[in-house]
Amino acid sequence: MKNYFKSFFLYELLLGMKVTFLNMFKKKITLRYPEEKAPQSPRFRGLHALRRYPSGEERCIGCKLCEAVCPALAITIDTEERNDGTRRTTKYDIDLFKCIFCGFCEEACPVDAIVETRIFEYHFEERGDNILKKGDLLKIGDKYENEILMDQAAKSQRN
Amino acid sequence: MKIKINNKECSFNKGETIIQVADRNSIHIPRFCYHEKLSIAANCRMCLVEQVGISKPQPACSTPAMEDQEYFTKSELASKSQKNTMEFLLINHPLDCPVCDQGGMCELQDQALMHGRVKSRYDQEKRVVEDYKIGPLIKTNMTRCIHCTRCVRYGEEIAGIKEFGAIGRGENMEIRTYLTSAINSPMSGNMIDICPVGALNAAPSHMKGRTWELEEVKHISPHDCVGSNMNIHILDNNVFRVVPHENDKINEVWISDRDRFSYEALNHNERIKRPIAKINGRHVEVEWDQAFDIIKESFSKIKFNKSAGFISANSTFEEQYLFQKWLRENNINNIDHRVSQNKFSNQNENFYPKLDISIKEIERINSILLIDSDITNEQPILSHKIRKAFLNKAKINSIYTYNYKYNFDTNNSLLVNPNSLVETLIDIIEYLTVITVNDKTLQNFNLPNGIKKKFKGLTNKKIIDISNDLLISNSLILLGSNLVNHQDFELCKVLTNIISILTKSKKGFLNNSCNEAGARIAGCLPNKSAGFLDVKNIGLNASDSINEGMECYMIYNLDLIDFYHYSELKKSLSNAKFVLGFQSFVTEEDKNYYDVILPLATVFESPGTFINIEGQWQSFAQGCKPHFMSKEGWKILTKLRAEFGKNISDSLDYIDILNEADSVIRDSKFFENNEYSDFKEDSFSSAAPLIRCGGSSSYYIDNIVRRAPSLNKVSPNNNSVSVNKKTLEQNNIDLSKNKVIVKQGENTLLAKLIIDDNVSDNCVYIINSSKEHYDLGKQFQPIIIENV
Repeated sequence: MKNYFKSFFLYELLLGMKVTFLNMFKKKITLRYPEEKAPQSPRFRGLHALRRYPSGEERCIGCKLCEAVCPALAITIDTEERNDGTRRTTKYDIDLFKCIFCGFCEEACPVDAIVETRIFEYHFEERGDNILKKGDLLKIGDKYENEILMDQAAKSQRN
Repeated sequence: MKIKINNKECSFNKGETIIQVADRNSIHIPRFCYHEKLSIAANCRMCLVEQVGISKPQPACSTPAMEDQEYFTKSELASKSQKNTMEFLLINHPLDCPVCDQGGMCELQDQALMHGRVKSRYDQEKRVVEDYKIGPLIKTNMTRCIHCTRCVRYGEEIAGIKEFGAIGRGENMEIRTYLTSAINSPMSGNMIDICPVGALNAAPSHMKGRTWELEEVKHISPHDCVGSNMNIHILDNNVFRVVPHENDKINEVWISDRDRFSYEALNHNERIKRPIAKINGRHVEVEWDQAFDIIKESFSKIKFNKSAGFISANSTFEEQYLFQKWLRENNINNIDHRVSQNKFSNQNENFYPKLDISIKEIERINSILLIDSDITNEQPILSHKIRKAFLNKAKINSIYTYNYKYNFDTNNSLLVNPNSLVETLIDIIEYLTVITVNDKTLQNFNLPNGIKKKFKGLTNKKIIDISNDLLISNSLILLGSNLVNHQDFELCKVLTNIISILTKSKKGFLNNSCNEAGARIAGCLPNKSAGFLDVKNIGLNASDSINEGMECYMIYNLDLIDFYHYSELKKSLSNAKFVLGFQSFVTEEDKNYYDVILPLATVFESPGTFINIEGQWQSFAQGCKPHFMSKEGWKILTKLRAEFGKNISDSLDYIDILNEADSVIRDSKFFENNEYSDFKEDSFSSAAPLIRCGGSSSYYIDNIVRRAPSLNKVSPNNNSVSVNKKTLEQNNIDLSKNKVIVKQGENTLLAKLIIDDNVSDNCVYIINSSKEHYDLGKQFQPIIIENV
């Protein structure tokens, strides 16, 4: 009898509506992406970048430790001796289809040249665009150098 | 006798040091300065171990093991002293492993991981040492040097370089050449291997890759008759570097610079990338099938008895076997590999480049006679063995046409004119016949009458001394490899053989090709087929088939300048109807002579077998895949055989070829042959007033080495001729000018004149290191020098 009345007056529905009603006055946890974005940790591992020294000299010395450590074999490097006697890369490719964004490359790098930035919004239009070339990586690095610097500082603080 | 290391009982022989006993029992002791092939220096102090009963730790490399003693390599005292040593070593060593080429295979890196502290306590300035150039092969970075002096001891003890050492003391100590000069040794590259840190690195592969990316394949040296074992390291289907592979019977742990750096030729711009055919007078790149069609069509037009095939003695045994098989199947009998030989006076001679003893036994020989051999440059590994014999107090004598620089000292040396070389050898025989007249073991031996007629009484005391040294038991005669160009080469072989019979000494015929013995067994001779069996239709030798002008020539893996009869060959090739080349490299000029060129994989890109001077068969696997469109030689030849009507299964692979060749060869009596041939009087040379001598530069001997850029920087083409002062004065040459014109026939060359008393009288010494030298004319031929 009791159940009969409960179902007749849609008691469960009202119970559910109560949760909805109460939530209308609570603070919202959803974000209106892309206008709003979720906060990111300084350790966020997004798109890669190659950094330069303040003098404009590229940091990467072509030691190939990132290539060796990469578990997805996404990095390909060719090196050669530059005229001033230092080793530099002639090819530094990252295949973003292979990359699993584990951040090992950043950890392995002895000169902090390869880093993973906070960028996670990107797309490819052509076949082959998924491979980031050395020039692309340096451009990203140049563009986001300030952000990368701040993140590096934040990371070292927490240690 | 027994000692205990880390509570493990180990037996040892008297005189052994702790580190040797430990190594044999697989107990690890860290070390930098100790190297099993070098003397003990005990200056790195890394191998300190604890000896029970002695309060101070002992260096394991220099402390002899003592009966019933106990040692600990990992006790508190031992590991503390190792740790301290490591800390001192790292004080001045830069922490630049990521930029150092040694990173990943560095002994300091490994041992710092095992025995080092986690953090450095040193915060003052580090020492920096100036770099200097020691040649195009070795890149120095002396700041990284830890003063283990392995390289200095290697230079003094193994290579015989006296110009390299440590200068200064304490912190100012520097390892360097005493004068600012390049290290001049054909084995200098081994310093790169023995350097435990990144102070000495290979210059050609400098900064081009890291050690962990490389793939290792065992290989055999393709440049001299020694057959050094080496490992080729491959990066991205390219040879990255070559390092020695330990083989105590042949090359120990060393290889020559030529073996180490010749790989650079692989991507030379003269490399043949695709099959090339001459169509309507122009060379065009074609597909493989098209090339085979052209060959078949051309073959239908030529007479087979007017065809000749030449194969390089540097090709693998399988290629040589298939080459002669394919030609003989088509009734072409003019097959030869002896393209650098001048005269073939004796077709039936059975000599082959072979050493009567094993290479290792050379170090125990008591007396050695070198006949016109620049062994230090041409066969550096054999020279090292002779040096070992020399250090064991062996008497070494040399008869030469140029005062070669050896890395050992000679007891007696005799400088002769190439024309009187044969007379000198006969003089030795004359003396020996007198000495051995009462020897009963020689009763059955009859000296050919032709030689007896040449006896003319001895005048030179040096010949007596040299002959006396040969009579010492356990002696060896080595005939140099450059003599192959001499018109009396075969006579010299016969005479050498007679001397060896009279003195009961061993003999060896050195050769610049890695597989001359293989070529002979494989049947690349006009009169012998595979297995050194006689053939019915004897063909023409290299010299005759060039001079008679054939309709068709097939040239396998040889540059045209490899031929002694170079100018005649060019003439014959331009008159021939069809010239087929199997080549890895062809120069622009040589290309004009060919109708079809098939791209051949180099020795680094193909599997194969080499047979070295002591008769050792050594097979090796394919290093990298053939570059461009080239194919391995055995594949090309098998395909050709199939195209010419043989039924060959598609699944045939390299091992089948080797097995087939092996089954044909197995019963051959080749390596038991010890006969000497008859003496022919008419083979004496006529004396010319002035004669050209000097062979190829050791970095110009074959088609690979000649294209290796770094090696050619070692011996730059300086385009010079050396003549001694007396001869210059006799020819009225103006000594004040440093240029001179040399003429051979119609060809002339303007060259730098070097006054060099190492050259014998009436000789003009030219080291062939460029094409101009070959264009000028042949060696051991009359030459004229004139003022500019």
